[in-house]
Amino acid sequence: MFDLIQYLVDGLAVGSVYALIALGYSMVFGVLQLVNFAHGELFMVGAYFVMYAISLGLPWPVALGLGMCFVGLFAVAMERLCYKPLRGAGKLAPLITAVGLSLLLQNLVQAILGPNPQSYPARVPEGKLSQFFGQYLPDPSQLQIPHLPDGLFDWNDLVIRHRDLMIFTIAVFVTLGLELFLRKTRPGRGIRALALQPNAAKLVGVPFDFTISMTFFIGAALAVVAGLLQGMADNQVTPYMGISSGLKAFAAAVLGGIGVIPGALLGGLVLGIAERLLVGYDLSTYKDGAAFFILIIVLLLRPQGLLGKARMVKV
Amino acid sequence: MMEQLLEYSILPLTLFGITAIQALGLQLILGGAGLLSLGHAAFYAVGGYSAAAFTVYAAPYLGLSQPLLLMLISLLVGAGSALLAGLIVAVPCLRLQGDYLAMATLGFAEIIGTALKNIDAIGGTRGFTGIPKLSSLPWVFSVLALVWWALARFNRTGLGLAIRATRDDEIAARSLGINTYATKLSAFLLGSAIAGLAGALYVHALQFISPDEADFSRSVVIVLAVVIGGMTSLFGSVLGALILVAVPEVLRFAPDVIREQRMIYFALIVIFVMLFSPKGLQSLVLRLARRHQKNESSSLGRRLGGAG
Amino acid sequence: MFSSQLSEQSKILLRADNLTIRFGGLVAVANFSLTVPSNQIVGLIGPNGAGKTTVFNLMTGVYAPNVGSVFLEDVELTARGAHVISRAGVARTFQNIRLFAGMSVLDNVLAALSWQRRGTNLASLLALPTIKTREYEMMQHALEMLSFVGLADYADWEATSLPYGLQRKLEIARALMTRPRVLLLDEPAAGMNPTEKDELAGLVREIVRQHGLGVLLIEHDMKFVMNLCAQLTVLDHGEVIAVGTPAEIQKNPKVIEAYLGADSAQVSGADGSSPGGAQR
Repeated sequence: MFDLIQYLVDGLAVGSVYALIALGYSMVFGVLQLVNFAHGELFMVGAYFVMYAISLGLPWPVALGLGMCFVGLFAVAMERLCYKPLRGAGKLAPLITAVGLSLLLQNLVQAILGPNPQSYPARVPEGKLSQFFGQYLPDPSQLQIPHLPDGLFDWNDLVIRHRDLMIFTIAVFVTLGLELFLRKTRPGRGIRALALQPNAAKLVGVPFDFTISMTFFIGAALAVVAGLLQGMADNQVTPYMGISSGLKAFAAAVLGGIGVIPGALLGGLVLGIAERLLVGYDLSTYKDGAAFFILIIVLLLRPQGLLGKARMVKV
Repeated sequence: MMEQLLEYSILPLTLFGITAIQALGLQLILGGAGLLSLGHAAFYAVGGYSAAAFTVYAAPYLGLSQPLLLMLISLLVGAGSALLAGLIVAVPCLRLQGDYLAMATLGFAEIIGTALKNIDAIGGTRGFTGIPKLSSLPWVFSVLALVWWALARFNRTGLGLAIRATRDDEIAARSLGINTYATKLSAFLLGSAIAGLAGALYVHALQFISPDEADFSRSVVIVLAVVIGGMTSLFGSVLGALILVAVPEVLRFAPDVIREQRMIYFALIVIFVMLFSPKGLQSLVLRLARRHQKNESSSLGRRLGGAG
Repeated sequence: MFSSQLSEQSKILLRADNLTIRFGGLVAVANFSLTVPSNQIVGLIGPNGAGKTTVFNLMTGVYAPNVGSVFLEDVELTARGAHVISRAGVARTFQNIRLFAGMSVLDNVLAALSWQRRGTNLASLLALPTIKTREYEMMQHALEMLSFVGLADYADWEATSLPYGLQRKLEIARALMTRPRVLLLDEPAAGMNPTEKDELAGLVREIVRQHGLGVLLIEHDMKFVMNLCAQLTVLDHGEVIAVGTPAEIQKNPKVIEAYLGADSAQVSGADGSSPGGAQR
């Protein structure tokens, strides 16, 4: 019983990262009914960007801000160039394009930065690029690499790592912030309007294309935050982190209720805890299947997710 | 030189044939019934593993050793087990609408993949080895031809028409007496069984199978094949499979092009095809053909109602 | 094939008894009853939003009523599922045409034979000689049906590339392929010009004459309805407000009041336009 609580607490951090990625899936699905399979790659690219930016000597808030802008704008470009032309071409074409984009990003990163995992401080592998950038890279020993806090709370043998608490708190604040943005600000309400009633939204003057771009931007920016947190927590980035975390974050979004913001948080946390439970009870080989097992159960029993509303189909 | 080239192309041609069979099975589900199934590779893997388990474990026990017979039976075993897996997935999933159906099939496929990784008797994560070589390129192409022919004929049967009617308008189909649930289920089961055939052929040609064959990425390749070629026709799926196998192979010959770069070109091709011809390359081919055809035709959009 | 009995006796084919359905808190249809006799054309009219299509959906199994029942002769059909009801002999067309867009005109009509072709799929696939005759007959039947509605030349056209009026005819042809005892037509004349409407009226009469089935149609065009239907049921806000011959209905004050807001001259059939506004 006690172990259970410990695992619950331990799972929160992993879950929080899933949640931050899941928010992006949820938002884009809410407005476009599109599962952006390339979203996981945005997380991966964000993680790399931030790691390299910090390794170049930039302070982490600057690195994060730049990363959010860069990847956010990249997501907007992706949407404009690849998804927008396919609006109205059915469900499958954008899905395939998303898969193509995902493959493209994974392989671009692998080709340029090498397939091996990298840690702080990141270094471009041997080749033309490293020769070009080498002169700009500061001396590693002089770098101030930010760390997640190392402390623990020890409360009657229940161990809560400071870093886990911090990640969890960040996720909660981000979710709250996003909800507030969507409810209280004009652009945010535009997003919600578009998700609920696209035709009515257009009629009352919600700028369709701009709002969609904004949605992609925000989703991507949040994924970058997740990328920073994951990169620091594991001290590692790999070109594959997008596929593995991405798909699971998608499952988390569906679990919580795709299109529902707090649902993404809830789904992510539930998934993170479930994975931790499996590892804790010696079933770690099943860890990766956990996300999908939960996904199936949810879809069969309650397809709209834990916090979603049932969709009525009109004949 | 010619002999070397032929020798070399056996493997890619075999893979093309197998991918084409997988794609034809998925075409029935995706293009024919309109069901967004994202876990098709799982059925193929189940078929492959079952067929392999049969020849490696069951056949010696039953005293069977004649290669032709063994291969035929293992084809049946592959198709049958894949059909069963399809049944287990379809019954709960078909109740769900479009996107949710896609998510659920994806989930089931991942679970099947995880399950395969955890069964040691068939090799666990390292894969199943020691499978006898019972199939080869002629086998693969024969089965491909047979499946292609059978599906073309099937599309003209009552059930074949019912499947496409259900895809186009489920409510109208029901108003004609079509049991749309049974129809969708039939399409799904047939499509999975065909995938199982591909699996059985694969394991006995390459003498190996790993649980990665059930991965989402493998399913994506099959979906790509169907969509890129043109998902409303059988020819489109075969064409798509050809492209998906040929492009990386051809790029392999370009010097200094490493694997990641091949994948980059491949991904770019996929994106461009989708952007410029969302209905698949098949429709592009048709459009080009029509421009050359200047003979009689009616002014309004006339098109031959095809077997697709 | 179809029975060509021209029986003068009319019997009740389709019967709706006291149907009521609620969606959430809204009562869409209440206490609805109606009969469709053989060899006759009866109409269901009413202002927009009265619930006419909902009634169709109740009678064809798309919706299950909260109260009430539907019978085809003495077989109960209530809530048995749309495909079961269709197999029992009730066919319908749709207000917003529902053709099979990815299929040809001929295939649309052939699709209606799927139920009749059950059990022969394998034989058909293998092109066995045993069913060759039967398949040939079915193909002939389909082609004859297309000729009957005037679509023989369009057999291999993409169904949705047909002009609108022909699409409606195709939907009717498709529904007839199921050999129904009762045919429900939902606004079959919508969006047609007067010539097309006359053709349609003739077609419907011919269908009844040849096959002795009962037809129930929903329409907004009063002139069309008055000339074609032996009896009318008027629906308003989900309830029946009048039943009678066209002559009786025209003079019924409740009916005129229900249509107030639309030109009451239109209700009396003085012009041929439809109060609800054409769909296309």
